[in-house]
Amino acid sequence: MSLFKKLPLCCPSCESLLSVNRMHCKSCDTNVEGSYELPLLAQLNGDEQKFVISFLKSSGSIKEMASQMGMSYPTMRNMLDDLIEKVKTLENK
Amino acid sequence: MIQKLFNPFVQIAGSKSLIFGLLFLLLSSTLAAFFNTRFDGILDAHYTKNQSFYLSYLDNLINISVITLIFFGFGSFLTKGRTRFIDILGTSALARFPLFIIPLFNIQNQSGLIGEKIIQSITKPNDIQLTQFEWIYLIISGIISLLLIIWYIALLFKAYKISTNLKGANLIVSFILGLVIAEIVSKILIYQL
Repeated sequence: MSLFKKLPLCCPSCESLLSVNRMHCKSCDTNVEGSYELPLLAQLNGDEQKFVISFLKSSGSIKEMASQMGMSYPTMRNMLDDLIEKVKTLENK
Repeated sequence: MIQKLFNPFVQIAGSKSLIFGLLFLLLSSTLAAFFNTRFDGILDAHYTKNQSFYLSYLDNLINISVITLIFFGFGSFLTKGRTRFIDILGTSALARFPLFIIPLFNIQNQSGLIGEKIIQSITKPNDIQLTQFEWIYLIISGIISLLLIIWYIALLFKAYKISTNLKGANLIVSFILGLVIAEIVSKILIYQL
């Protein structure tokens, strides 16, 4: 049975944003260690990342996204506005 | 299903909700004319005598225009022009759909006659001449009408929230203020015109 593993973004202990400490090459089994900040898009949760991807796929048309997802235009626009606010907050951290 | 009843605007807003909203407004105005009901204010429904079709349509036209203009004014001011008129108009029109049920309580002037008996006995409050059936009818229709008005206000709140994307105190204060102003303005316009 394969389990879907969700990328943890926050520390389960203190809820601070996690950073990348170790990366691994599956091909040659090399490990790289260091301290890397997560890129901005990776700091968004799964649903927000899906939203960004579908926004790109629909060439930035909120109307088209709304019709694809069966939601109203203001619902989609509000989601986008909230996401913009979150990105601005993350950038300022 | 519950979400569709209490917040249909997640799926439907703008011109689509305006079409459905106008259909319900036509239906409720027509029923109001048939069953002598006046929507004489955005939060009001009263039973009357000889209601005309003209007045029924005019009442709802005033109600929807006033609430739309006031909410659009507040929304535009607080969101710095990011509120769309069509969203406020469409969602506010659709939010009135529960109210089309209220005129049905006055089939054969049932509620109007009960109201008249109560008014006639104002001078003798201990001597209200209502039959047992009329008491039950009065209580049940009163409770259902009240629940329908509450449902309408809840829908109106969701309509305003989704159309403006306001949050916190801005949302709550402007909604309550808008509702109170709209009630006063609609009442004045309906009885002046």
